[in-house]
Amino acid sequence: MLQCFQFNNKHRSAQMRKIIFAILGILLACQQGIQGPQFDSTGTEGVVVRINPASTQDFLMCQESNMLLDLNNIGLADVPQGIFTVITEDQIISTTKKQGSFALDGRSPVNPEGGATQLSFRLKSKTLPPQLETYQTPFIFHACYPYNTYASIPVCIDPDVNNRQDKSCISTPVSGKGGQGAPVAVTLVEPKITIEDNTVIPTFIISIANVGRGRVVAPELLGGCGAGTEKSTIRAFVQLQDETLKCAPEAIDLRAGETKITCRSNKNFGTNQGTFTTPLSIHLEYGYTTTSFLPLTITRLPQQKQC
Amino acid sequence: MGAGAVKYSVGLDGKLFDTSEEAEEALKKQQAEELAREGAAIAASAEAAASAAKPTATNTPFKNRRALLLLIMLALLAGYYLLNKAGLKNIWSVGIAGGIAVLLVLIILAPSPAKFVWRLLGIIAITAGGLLGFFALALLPFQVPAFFTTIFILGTIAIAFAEWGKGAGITLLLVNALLFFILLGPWHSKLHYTEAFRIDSPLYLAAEKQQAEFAKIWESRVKVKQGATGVQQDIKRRILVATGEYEDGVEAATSEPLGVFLEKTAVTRERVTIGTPIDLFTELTAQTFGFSDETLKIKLQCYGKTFSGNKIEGSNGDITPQAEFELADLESYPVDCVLNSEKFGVGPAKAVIEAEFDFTTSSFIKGHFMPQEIIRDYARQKKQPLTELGISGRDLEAVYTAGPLRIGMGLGRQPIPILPNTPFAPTLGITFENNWVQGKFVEFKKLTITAPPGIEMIGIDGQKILKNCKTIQKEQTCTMEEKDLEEMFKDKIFTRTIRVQTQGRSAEELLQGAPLAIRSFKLSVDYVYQISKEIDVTVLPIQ
Repeated sequence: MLQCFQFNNKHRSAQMRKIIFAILGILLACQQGIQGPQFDSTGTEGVVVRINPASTQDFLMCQESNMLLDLNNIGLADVPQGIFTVITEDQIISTTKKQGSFALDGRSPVNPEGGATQLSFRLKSKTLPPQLETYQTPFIFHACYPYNTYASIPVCIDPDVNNRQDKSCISTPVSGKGGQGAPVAVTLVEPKITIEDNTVIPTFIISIANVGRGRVVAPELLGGCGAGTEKSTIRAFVQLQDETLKCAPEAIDLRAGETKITCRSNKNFGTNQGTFTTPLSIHLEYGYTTTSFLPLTITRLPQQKQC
Repeated sequence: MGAGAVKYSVGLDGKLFDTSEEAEEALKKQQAEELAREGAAIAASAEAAASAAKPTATNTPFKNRRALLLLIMLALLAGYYLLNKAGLKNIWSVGIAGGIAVLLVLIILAPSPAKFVWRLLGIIAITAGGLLGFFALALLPFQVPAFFTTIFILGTIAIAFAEWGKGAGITLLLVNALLFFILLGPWHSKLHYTEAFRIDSPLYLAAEKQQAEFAKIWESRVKVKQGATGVQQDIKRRILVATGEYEDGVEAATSEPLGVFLEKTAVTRERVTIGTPIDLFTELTAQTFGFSDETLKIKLQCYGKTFSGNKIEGSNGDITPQAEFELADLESYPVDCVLNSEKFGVGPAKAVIEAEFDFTTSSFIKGHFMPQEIIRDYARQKKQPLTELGISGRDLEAVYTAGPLRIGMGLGRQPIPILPNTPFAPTLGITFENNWVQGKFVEFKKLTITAPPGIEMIGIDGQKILKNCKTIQKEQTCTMEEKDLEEMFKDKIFTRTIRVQTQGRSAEELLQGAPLAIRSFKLSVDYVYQISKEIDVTVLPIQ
């Protein structure tokens, strides 16, 4: 009996070990399983709009059709409230909603693909002008939203203008190639050293450009969905080591293309201080518009006079 | 004879002379006599030669004169044969050939007036050179196109002006004009080609074609004067384009061309004897807009017309199966028109068939309205605002429906800028043009213009003539009736542009908070249009 008991104990232990090994194996596999999407902090787009393939582009006179739009925020900034406007030829096409809003999160490590939503529009065609068999008319989706660009550019502060000490870095222009996950990007940062009273004042010339496919608008005029402005369209906040730099011009207008601003530190660095690298944080606030165009074709049936 | 006496002899006769002086004298005398004899002989032969050259009946050999007369007779016969074969009637062939033969005989038999006769023949040949050349060309074994004979005739007159001066040129021009007028003119005298030439002979056909050619030249002068040519319309169009008043458009695509057509038009016989009916036939085809149940009301008529473009009075023919039709989508009927050739009279003319029908042409243009600030914004970025929104140039073109009338429309440069709280007033330009070269407008019955919501029409060409306007579903529609249109479209063959002044009610109402508004202006015109086809016919006299 003792032998039977001892045999049973041994058998159970072996089974337990197998079960434990199996559980460990499963846990290990889960840890090292299928890789999720990698998070990329570059990019030159904000909210993109795609026409869903299920949308109807060709339809009959007096009939209804569906238009489906997929919105995806592939930039890094969140859009808490965007506005959209649908532009159609009202004498030919009527739609259930002409204006609305949307909210989309930006890409992040926990959401590498960014927020997405689908907008649906019910379209109905009216009577075509007489003696026309077909008619082309556009469906234009116009989205306006506030956006931000966050750029952290490592810059070299070199107060040692007399080259007395060993330098840990060399002060050179830094490119922002590839974008910062937004349609407005910092394309170049050029450090400059200004000497005043035997002290060094760091100054930076920052180049900013619209690298997306839309249009930059003033954030305060987003209510009108970019009805045009003569004022500045971008607000910039630049920080160096917890200090907010003073930038000029304060009004950044990108309508003429790439624009440069000069930001100056209030801190003085002695020429005896060593060279060091520190991040220059650039935060841009602006409004942005994205437009999508889809041509619709309306066909009249034989003997069809009017709706 | 005693010894020591010397004797002298001269010549061959052996005569002796006592002294040398006597011998020399005798020699001189002998030489002089020989010279005299030679001179007399020369004079005698010259006289004989001179008398032999004189054409005197007593001098010309009888054999030569007979040969010449025989030659003239042969020429007379040959001339008669050629003229007769060419188609000249016997009486004229004999008369012309005989007349020339008589003149030639006169030259031979009466040498004194010969010079005058030659000169006379020369003058006749020169002044009637055009006609003679025409006759000569007609005698060729192949038919010379009437165009070339016309050039030949004009060329001889031009040469006369150049070579012999204004007097000779004018004489030649007047003589040829008179001769051709007698031969080919509208009055049928004994000298008219229909009387002088045999029917269907080469001369008859050449004269017929020449008459038609002259008539076409005359007809084209009339057509230019009436302004019914494509050239006239083209000139008007170019003027409008140059002054910036021409509004363009594209024709809407349709599966079939719209309108009424006379196809396969012909006559059963192009040359008929007077009294025989002329049967003009055609295929009447109508194509309405198949996507509606509309029909086209068509009226037909047929008649004769001279080459100068005048309708022949009383020549209206009978149309079978009927003269009025109501056709719909792609319907086609064979139609015959029987004309009375006696009403046409002998000679060439045109058989004409006309179709008159009601038709409607529509047109529209999309206006793109945008806040001015947005337009400027794009401009600063060197971008085209409509292109950025996906709107291409084709979307900005006016579209008109198929048919005889072409309607172009324009709103100026687009997008049309809108200022908030500021009135805006785009002007609509409309160009009307005849789209079919084979037809013409009879009358305009109605013109309807529709403005989009938010815009009102206030006048045309600066005049407040839009009285009949109403608003339906926010769209203002103004209608002009026949009486108002008579003044606007005086010249029915035209290229005409009108400008419609508008007034915007409210920018906010138009845009409704959007950066772009798309609004269409629409137009339709009801009118009566006429197409015709002409076929050349020739009525021959009874033989």
